[in-house]
Amino acid sequence: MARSRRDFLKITASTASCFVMSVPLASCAASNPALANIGDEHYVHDGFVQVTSQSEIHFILPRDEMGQGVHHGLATLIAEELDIKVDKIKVYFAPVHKTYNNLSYGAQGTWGSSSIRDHYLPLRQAAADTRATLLKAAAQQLAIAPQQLTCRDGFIWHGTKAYPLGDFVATAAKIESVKGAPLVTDSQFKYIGKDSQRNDALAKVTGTARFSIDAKLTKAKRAVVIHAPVINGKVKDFDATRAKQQAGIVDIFAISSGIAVVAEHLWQAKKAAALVVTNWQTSELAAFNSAELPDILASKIATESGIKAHKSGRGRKALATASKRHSATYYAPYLAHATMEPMNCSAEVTASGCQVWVGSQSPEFARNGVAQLLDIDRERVQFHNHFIGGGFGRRVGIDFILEAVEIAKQVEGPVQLVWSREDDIRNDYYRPPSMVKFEAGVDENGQLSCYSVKRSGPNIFPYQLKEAVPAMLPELFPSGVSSWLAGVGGKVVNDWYAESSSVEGLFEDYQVAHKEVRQITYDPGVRNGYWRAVGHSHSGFFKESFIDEIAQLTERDPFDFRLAHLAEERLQNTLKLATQKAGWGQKLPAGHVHGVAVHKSLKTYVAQVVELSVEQGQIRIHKVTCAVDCGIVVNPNIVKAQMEGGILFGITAALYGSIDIVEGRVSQSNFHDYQMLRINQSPDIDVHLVESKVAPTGVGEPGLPPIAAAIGNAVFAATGQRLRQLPFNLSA
Amino acid sequence: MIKFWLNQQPVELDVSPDAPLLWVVREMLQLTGSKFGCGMGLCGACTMHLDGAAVRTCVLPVSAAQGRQVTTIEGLSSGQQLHPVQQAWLDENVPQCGYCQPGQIMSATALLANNTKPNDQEIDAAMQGNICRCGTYPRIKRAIKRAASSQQTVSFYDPEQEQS
Ligand code: FES
Ligand code: FES
Repeated sequence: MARSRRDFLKITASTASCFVMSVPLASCAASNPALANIGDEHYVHDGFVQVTSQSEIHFILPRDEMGQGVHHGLATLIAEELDIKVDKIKVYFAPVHKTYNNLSYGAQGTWGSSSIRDHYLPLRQAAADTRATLLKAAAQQLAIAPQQLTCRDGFIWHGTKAYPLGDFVATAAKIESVKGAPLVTDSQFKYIGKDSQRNDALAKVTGTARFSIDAKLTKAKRAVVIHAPVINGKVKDFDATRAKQQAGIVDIFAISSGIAVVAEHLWQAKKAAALVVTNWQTSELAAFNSAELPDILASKIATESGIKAHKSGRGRKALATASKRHSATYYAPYLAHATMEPMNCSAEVTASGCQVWVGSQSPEFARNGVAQLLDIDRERVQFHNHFIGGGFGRRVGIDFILEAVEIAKQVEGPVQLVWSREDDIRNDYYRPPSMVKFEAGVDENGQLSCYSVKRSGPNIFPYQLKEAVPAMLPELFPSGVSSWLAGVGGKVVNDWYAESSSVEGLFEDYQVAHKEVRQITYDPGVRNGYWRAVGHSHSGFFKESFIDEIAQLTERDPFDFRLAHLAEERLQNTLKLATQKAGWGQKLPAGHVHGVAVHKSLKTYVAQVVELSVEQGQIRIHKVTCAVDCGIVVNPNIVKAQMEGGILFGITAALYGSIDIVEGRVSQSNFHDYQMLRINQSPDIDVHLVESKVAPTGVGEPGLPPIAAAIGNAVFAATGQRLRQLPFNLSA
Repeated sequence: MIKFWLNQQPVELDVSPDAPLLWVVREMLQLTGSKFGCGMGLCGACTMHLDGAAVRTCVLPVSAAQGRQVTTIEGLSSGQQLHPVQQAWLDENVPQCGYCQPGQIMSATALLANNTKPNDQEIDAAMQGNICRCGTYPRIKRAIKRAASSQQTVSFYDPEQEQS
């Protein structure tokens, strides 16, 4: 039936008010998992876009939303091609299925700032094909030439007549769908490149956004785990007699990572946990002190040649012919992620399988890991993903998910495991500590001619392999074989092959005739993981501080020196924009100085200028001016927000971040001793976007790498003190 | 028996008096908008209003609420009408992951209830107990100022003048 434009407004209003949000379950019955829970006639395209007979448009979000904005950004791509406002599209978190694989990494996961980069064209194509197929169906059903029809605002239009999309879904589902329909041309964009209110913002300001800690499992038992004080320690024996007498206690038992205390309510479990007396068997890490690491790594660098990670020209040999030489050593410690939402997961194990309610960056690894733990078919694990209260790489790890399932196995009904902040800080996959020694040579014209770096520290990949290998192997692989493979793989990385995340960002951005990068692995055995911007998070600091040292050595302005050496025009332009907007070289208020840094990570270019003063030995950051080139911008406001977030995350690390391990125990425990930047220390941030027509890249991580160096370089300008160790300590 | 008012509804609970208000509200009363972040009063994720004042409920025994008014993020808006602070949060696109935001908003509304035009120092003082790991502080500052000015407009709005 035809409807006028005015009717259309009424219809959308009424559907909005009666629509009930429900997350589709990963059903084992449906061949396409996105079909689950969506009854009646609908038209499905590629498992990403669905149009129902009520004309609702559903978008199955292949990535997880942890603040970076994909819930809105990827929906914007669908909106553009269907010519409908973003907030008219209902977004669902995807179940685990290969349809939703991360194209860059071949597994279903959210990492590497890859979501927009990966999905920009494929998702638009899926939506464009949906639109074309619906138009084709409408033309057939109405017997009107397709050229006379358009699709807009959830309707098929014929002149001023509007037919709801739902009228055509039954036909669309039967006919052959259109493939490769033309995309909206860039100059016609209505939604891409424009600011709009995030489609998850309303839920997040009203407290209705559902994180996994909020999973609606009213009858769930609540659990805590007592973890070993020494990392990798194991339970020898324990006495829970007194603890079990406490109100509400359901059970207390040992699991592989500690002792689980299960109660009716979380506070009861916490209280009883304090009464459990435990004997721990410590691990080999009981002899480890992280304070000794800088000396150990320095001696490794002094005595070992390591593995080649990169060499161009004559490499380090070219130092011999340089007219001036300079060398410096930098260090960054272990760091925890400290996501605002502590690790938590709910699970229920029944005879027919397992359900898991969690917020995970790697749902596929998690699901497969759970199946392996329970020794059941993967498709019997139903995985419910949620909004994530901060990921930053922490929720790539699946340890807490396996813990919850191990507990649920022994408990009747669903159980929710909630880690304390102390558990979170002390049981992380830490950013690896890292030491680098730079050596540089400058020729008679003041040009950098030789650049050599030796990096020493542990690698991340061996730790991830333990979780990834069983998850990536075919289902029937015996678990003994998969853990053997994971072990061998880890050894190969450590001994034979320089892992890219250990050296990335140390050497790529500058044009130098002779470069050499070497990696020397030393791993004390503390678990490492991906931390926002991964290797770049410290490489950006190391490289950009050292480049500043060379600029100083050659008596050149830090901006001019960089511009003369940057390897790519996009790096140069980004640097120019940031310095121009910051007023580089112009007079600042008394006592204020500028510092600059530029860094490319994950295909995105970022430059930052910090304005700060040093007062009584304290760094006060007044302002950060940031320029970013991420190609075509899908949502300028979200790009700016990610730059702000990356900068503030990086300032926390630069000023406070350190995880210290004493005799195998993590010293830090909560926000009083693992400090976070607070609002009163937060500078003004001014973000500028480089205009671009090239393919978009991600922004979740690249805002972070330059900031520590920009601060350190400004401190040098203010005080003459070169800060070569994180976190910054001016009295050292 | 502990009795108090939760978002203007009377509640009566048989619960241990030392149970933290946060968990009682989340687990027994099913309002999960208030979050857990640290359990030590250090992050503000659990902030609710107790008789209008912002309190950290992860360290507040439920007995402290006896006979008093407790407001959570769920009780801030009236019906479909958002609180001006929530609206300002939307206008500035504040939330990223969103996990800290209920606590931030509860602290901001308590501030603005007592001080309709806070300056930068006053905003810092009222908000520095709330951590945002995603780094939304610049937007929080802007949103508070925006809400402050919109509240002013509302309170000085004079329909007579409008008609003339
Ligand atoms: S959870 Fe209450 S202040 Fe952090
Ligand atoms: S928005 Fe994520 S912690 Fe504040």
